[in-house]
Amino acid sequence: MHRPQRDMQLGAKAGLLSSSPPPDQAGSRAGPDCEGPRSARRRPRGRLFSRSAARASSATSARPGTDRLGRESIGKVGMDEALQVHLEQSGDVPVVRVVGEVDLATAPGLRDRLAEVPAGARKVVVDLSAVTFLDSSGLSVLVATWKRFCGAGPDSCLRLVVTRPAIQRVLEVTGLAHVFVVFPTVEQAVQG
Amino acid sequence: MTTLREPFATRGFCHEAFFYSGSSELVPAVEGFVREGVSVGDKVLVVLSRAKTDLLRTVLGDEADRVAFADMDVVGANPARIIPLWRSFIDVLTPGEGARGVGEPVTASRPPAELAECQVHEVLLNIAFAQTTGFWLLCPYDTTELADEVLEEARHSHAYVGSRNHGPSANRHYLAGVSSRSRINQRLADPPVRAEHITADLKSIGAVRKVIRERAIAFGLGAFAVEDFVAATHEVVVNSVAHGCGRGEVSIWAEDDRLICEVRGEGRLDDPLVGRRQPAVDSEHGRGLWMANQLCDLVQIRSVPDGTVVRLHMRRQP
Repeated sequence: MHRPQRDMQLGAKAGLLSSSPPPDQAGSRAGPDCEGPRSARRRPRGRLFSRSAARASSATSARPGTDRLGRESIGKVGMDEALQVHLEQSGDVPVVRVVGEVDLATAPGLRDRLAEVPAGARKVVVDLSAVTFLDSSGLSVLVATWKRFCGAGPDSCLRLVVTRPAIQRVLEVTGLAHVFVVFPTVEQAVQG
Repeated sequence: MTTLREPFATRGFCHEAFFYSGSSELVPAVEGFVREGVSVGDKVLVVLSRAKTDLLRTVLGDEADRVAFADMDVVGANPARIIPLWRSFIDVLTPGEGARGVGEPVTASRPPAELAECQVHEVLLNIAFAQTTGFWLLCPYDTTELADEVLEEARHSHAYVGSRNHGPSANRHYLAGVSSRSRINQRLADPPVRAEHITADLKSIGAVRKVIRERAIAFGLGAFAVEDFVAATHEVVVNSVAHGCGRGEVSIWAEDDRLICEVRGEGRLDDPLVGRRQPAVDSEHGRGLWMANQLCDLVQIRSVPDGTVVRLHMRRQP
């Protein structure tokens, strides 16, 4: 049975825990000795999260397919059902509607969905109005998407729809609010 | 005020600690420094408290238009934001153009954790601009307000010292190299006994974020500050999980008007300037600590024998 979400999760984990040089550090060097002895350190006072809580979130299966309006939905991605990505079309403009949290765990799923948008699109809209959290992993996915569609150039072919101040803030403090063109509504992003 | 006689190109980065006694001594000295810079065609940026820049603008008159100003209480509240400001100032110079800066990060009003980070910042300036030529950065220190050990530390972190009657001279107390790096790693005091502890791993990152959000709301951070704190702590937790054997030890506690979150992980950070360089817009990684520094009131980073400790502070508004 095909279980794409599980593959995505495993793929994400494998990439994160590899011993290759972490991208956040300058220069190449070996990662920490994860199997070696740990020096004495403070033990946590108590665990807030039991193993049973971690087990309780279940992996969900994909429900691919299109509805009568030609919209596809990936269903739910990730163990917490934290992210949904809907590929839609407004005229000849692809609109990628993202719902939920984009973080380390769910960003690979977003990346995979964005990769399904046909390469020739002159204008792509990514609707983040229903995104409740966006971290640097999500920004990396957006930057990769921008490079793919816009050749990392200054034109406005990747348009974001942002309504939540916290998401706008993340774009601003990283300097990306000037790079992506940001609109308050999908309609304006498609037409502008 | 005496000046450097040699041309800038041979001087490299002139990082001067300027010892003064009170504003009435500081303002004329800075005025002279600025006017001289403008007269020789240097670009000038002055970063002081608003009250001091206002005084300076008044005495400079029309010449104030030739000078850039920034409010240290705004741009330097988190001292980690100061180096990027100087970097963006230096980066737009044309070849051969000289630069002068005035930056007073250390004042008596800084609480201890901020003061410690100001002192780290002063040492990191020497690393950040080691290859820069023609940049004269004046760092005023008020001898009437600052403790002796703070002035002493300033003597260790600046290659030049000067005062009202004494132009910049090479400083024999300057500690370069290894001893300066050990000072950017001075140990942080342990979290208090009342601190709450959580272990984060890949599965629990979202749950940890939820706890931090709840604590931030309960502490009384404003709505925007809550989101900023959650986003910043999340980035540091992710770094720890992704680069530090898949886990991070998270501690949260309140200290006076600040909510503090510490993340301890086994990854190591080799670059002392991490989080102080604006990431390139087309970069596909390496934004987490930059974001934390923009979003939080203070971020303290220390390398420890078995990894890295990052401590994030957010102040509750009165």
